Amino acid sequence: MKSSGKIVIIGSSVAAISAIETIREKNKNLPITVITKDRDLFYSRPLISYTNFTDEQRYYRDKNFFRKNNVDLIFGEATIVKNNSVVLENKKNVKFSELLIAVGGKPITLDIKGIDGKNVFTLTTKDDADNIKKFCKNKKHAVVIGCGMIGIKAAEFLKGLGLNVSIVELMDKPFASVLDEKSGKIIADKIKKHAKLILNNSVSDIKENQCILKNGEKIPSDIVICAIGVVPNLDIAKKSQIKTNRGIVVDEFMRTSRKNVYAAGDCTEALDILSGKKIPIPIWPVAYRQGAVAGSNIAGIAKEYAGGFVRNSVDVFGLPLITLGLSNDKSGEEIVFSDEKSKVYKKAIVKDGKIIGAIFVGDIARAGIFTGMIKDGIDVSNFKNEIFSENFGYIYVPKEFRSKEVTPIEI
Amino acid sequence: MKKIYFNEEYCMACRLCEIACLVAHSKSKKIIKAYKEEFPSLTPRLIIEQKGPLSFAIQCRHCKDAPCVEACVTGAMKRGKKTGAVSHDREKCVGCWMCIMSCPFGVILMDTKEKKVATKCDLCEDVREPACVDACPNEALVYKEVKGSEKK
Amino acid sequence: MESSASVLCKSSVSVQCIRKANMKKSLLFPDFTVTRDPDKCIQCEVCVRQCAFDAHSFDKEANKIETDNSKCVSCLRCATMCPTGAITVSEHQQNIKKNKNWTEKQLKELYKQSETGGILLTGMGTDKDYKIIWDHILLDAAQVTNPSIDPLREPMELRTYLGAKPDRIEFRVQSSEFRGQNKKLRTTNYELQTKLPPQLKLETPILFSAMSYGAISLNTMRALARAADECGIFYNTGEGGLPKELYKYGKNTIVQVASGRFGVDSDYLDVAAAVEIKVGQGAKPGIGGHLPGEKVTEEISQTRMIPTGTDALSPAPHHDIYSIEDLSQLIYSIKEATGYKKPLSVKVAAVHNIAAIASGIVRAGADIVAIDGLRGGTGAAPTRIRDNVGIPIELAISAVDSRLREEGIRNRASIIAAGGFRNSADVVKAIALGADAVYIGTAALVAMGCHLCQKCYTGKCNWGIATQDPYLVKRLNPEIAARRLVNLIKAWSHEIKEIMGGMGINAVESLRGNRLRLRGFDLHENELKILDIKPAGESM
Repeated sequence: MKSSGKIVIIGSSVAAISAIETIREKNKNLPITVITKDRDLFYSRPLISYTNFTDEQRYYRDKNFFRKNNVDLIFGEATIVKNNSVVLENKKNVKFSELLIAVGGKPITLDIKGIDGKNVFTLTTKDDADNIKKFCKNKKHAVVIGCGMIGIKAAEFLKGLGLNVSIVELMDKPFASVLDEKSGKIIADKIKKHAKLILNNSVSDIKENQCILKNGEKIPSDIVICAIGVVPNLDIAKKSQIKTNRGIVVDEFMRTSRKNVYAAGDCTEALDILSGKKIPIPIWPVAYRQGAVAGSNIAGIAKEYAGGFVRNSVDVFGLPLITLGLSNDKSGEEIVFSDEKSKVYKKAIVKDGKIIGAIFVGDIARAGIFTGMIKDGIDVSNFKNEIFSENFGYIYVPKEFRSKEVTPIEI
Repeated sequence: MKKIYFNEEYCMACRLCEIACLVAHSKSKKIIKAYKEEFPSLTPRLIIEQKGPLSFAIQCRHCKDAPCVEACVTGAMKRGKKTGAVSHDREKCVGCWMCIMSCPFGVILMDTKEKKVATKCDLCEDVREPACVDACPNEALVYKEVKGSEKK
Repeated sequence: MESSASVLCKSSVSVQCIRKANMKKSLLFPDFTVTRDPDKCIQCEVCVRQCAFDAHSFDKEANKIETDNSKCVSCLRCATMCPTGAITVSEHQQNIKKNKNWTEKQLKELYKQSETGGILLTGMGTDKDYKIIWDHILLDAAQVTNPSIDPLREPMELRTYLGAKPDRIEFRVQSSEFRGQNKKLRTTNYELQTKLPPQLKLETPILFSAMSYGAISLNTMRALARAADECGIFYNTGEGGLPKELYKYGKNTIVQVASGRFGVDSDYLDVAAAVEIKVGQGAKPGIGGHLPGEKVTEEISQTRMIPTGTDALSPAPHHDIYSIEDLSQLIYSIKEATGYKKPLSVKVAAVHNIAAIASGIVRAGADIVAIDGLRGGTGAAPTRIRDNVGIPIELAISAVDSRLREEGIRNRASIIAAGGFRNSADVVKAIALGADAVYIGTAALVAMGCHLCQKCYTGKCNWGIATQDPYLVKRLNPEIAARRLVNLIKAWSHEIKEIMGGMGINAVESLRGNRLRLRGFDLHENELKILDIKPAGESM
């Protein structure tokens, strides 16, 4: 599989960057070209909502990353893959020997009256953030549609810009798919201290200065951010006859159905180890890992993607929240620790002796041990009642399951 | 690369490693001064775990495919090309805790004293032997090159 | 090294004992005062975690560490571990009215016994203020008329063989002539005709004393075994059996057969380099041992070959030895069982009639006589026995060596002296008095960290040595301890060579029994007579 020709990568976010780093680790000389729409290459997308940051602080890698790694850049939009070339918007052809599609996701749009108004935005790129910032000058009220990861960050962003924020959520709690009732309530209470939270409702009409909700309620809004979430960006894949499902279909080597074409990151659907199915897992660490796997294979060193699972960490107006795996599953045994006073809530769901999901609110210390236990499928039957005890730690992980990073054979 | 390993058979949970870690990362680097004057702002970068008589001190493993580096959205968590160690840049860190979520050893800690940032073992950077290893009276912590430790 | 039977009070001084005895107020006051320098204490709680006697505690509300002096045994673990050196342990100053007869120690013992009704227990060798004869024996050095030797330039021989030596040896001399290029050549071959009895080969005349698994931790045994292996010497299992794990050190192991016969089977005898029948021990001559059932853990039960949780009773006598003839039977049973391939040692306490006893032991067939003096250590012994029974090893060595020479049987057994050897000079003096080698126990324990707090019998050794507590045994890393032991043996060996060099002696063989090179200083005439040495100032 050794590449001789020219590697082309579409996209310049985390999957692309980790692919470049991996390729360069193994081969300093392979020519790499990145085709990207982003004008400002170095920022990290999750940081766009941090209003008090300088551009410098938003850089994911240092400014000279592409130059240092000897990567050619083409600014423009790739539209289709034809034969062994990528065709750009301006009809230019870029030849490749291996192609990596890392185009990420795109925001879900809603079919609401007034959604195409000038006061309606999405928030996934730095351009979005800059546009919102400009638009918000002298504005007072904002509505965020959707109370998930992006919704919260959008609300914090708008608060940071000095606006009053209302969040409208269709479901009965924030982060509806990953939180249970109790954690949902704690998070909702926290949000309510900073923004107006309207649950079980939706926006049906966006006007210039107000939103009309499904129940007829009117709320003032000079700006609306649609933050329902993202779906894999399948535009180029579909046009190029690359097999797609909910995301671009890839095998364990991150190869698509088209020869010499790889895909990685939010645009793919890859193995979810908890369900055993292939689904899009649009989270940063998965994109990074997939990018690295694709990069390694492109550089000629076979590497498999072992699968991942949904997990996220978000700071909700200062209250840390981590959800892991099937955190809202109702079929397993629930092990709960809750301290109402300190707003700490922790829950793990155990099924067939293994943890399949967990929620941490308020106290997230050492949550990664749970990530590890889920990933390695460690049987917790013997100590499941102690997992939220004060002393719980890696010491509970049976010696035979401990990583070699901890206990090498020689010690 | 050289890493810190524990030998649980000889760890007696005296916590001298933790104290040494605090002092090594204090401003004054003097034990009494650090404790008396800086104490509330000090966070150790290792964790001592105990379960009955079993105990060990665990700190960043500087994993090869480090999950924290993968998860870090800011680029604060980086693998040093030369040293192989995973380093953390306080200035870049925004305290999103993605690293805490990802570290399977649970050895990335929160430092919320000044600014909300993650903190972890830096192998005491330019020192010959990390402070915790140096302080362990029972050689339950060792700093050495171990073959085969990179595989998971 | 086990505790004696019928003892009520097993804890240190203190409150727990008294509660047991249902006494509200104890008349005891602490032995030690723990001082904490507030400018240095950083409340890290290392001392709290390190004290198995719970002398230190952290008061959360007051955010302060408190110390209960009455629980302190002055093992100095806390003071050693304290990262800022904030802790000082000193003698408790309580002005008991001075009285040469009724000393503070006497009073405290009376209070203790009146509160507990128990035999007083203690650990390690006696701390009583007996005259230490070693410190009244002076060594000679070569001047003018004979040259001293520089051990860094000249070879010095410390190698020692323990075991019976034949009365005479016979050689066969074979000469042969053959024709070389120009002339006839002649070679002579000497062949030893006498069959030598089995010997223990020591690189230096020091062995580690018997300390049993149960009295000391497995880690401590591991350290002793490793160090013995590295130094080319021997350690002794004591009467607690030999953990299977240590079988690999068999060639450096002396195994004991004691009155309880714990852990004795053919594998045990086979794996060892030598077998020692333990009749007595310097710290408690005439007393048996009692390891309480609660200390007989799974591992110890396997090693001792007794059921878990049962008391391990070592009878005071061997019930099959009531005479020298009986002893001889046991000696030959063991020799028979081990094919006459290993030296057989018999260990006795130095008691009044030691010379005659030693003679009997040699005549019974022992290859080595080990004699443990008044100052010999123990894991647990009744205080009264430890402090009052037996005779000093210095006198015993001389008495035994002289007697065996007089009887013309000195060559039939080697003498190992034991009981309170503190340094290499003591070793040199013991050898010059007539010993072949010495056993060191306390010195080895101190090398590993022991601070002589004498609380071995509580099982709470803070240094991880005399304990089976899973929290405490980890404190002794056998690798470190072995390194320390090896250093100690090396250092002593260097010193012995240095001293011998000064005396103009280049082999330990020439030092043995060389009492002419010793002088007594400030010793009574009778002591000099028994030691068979001249007073300082008297010429050759």
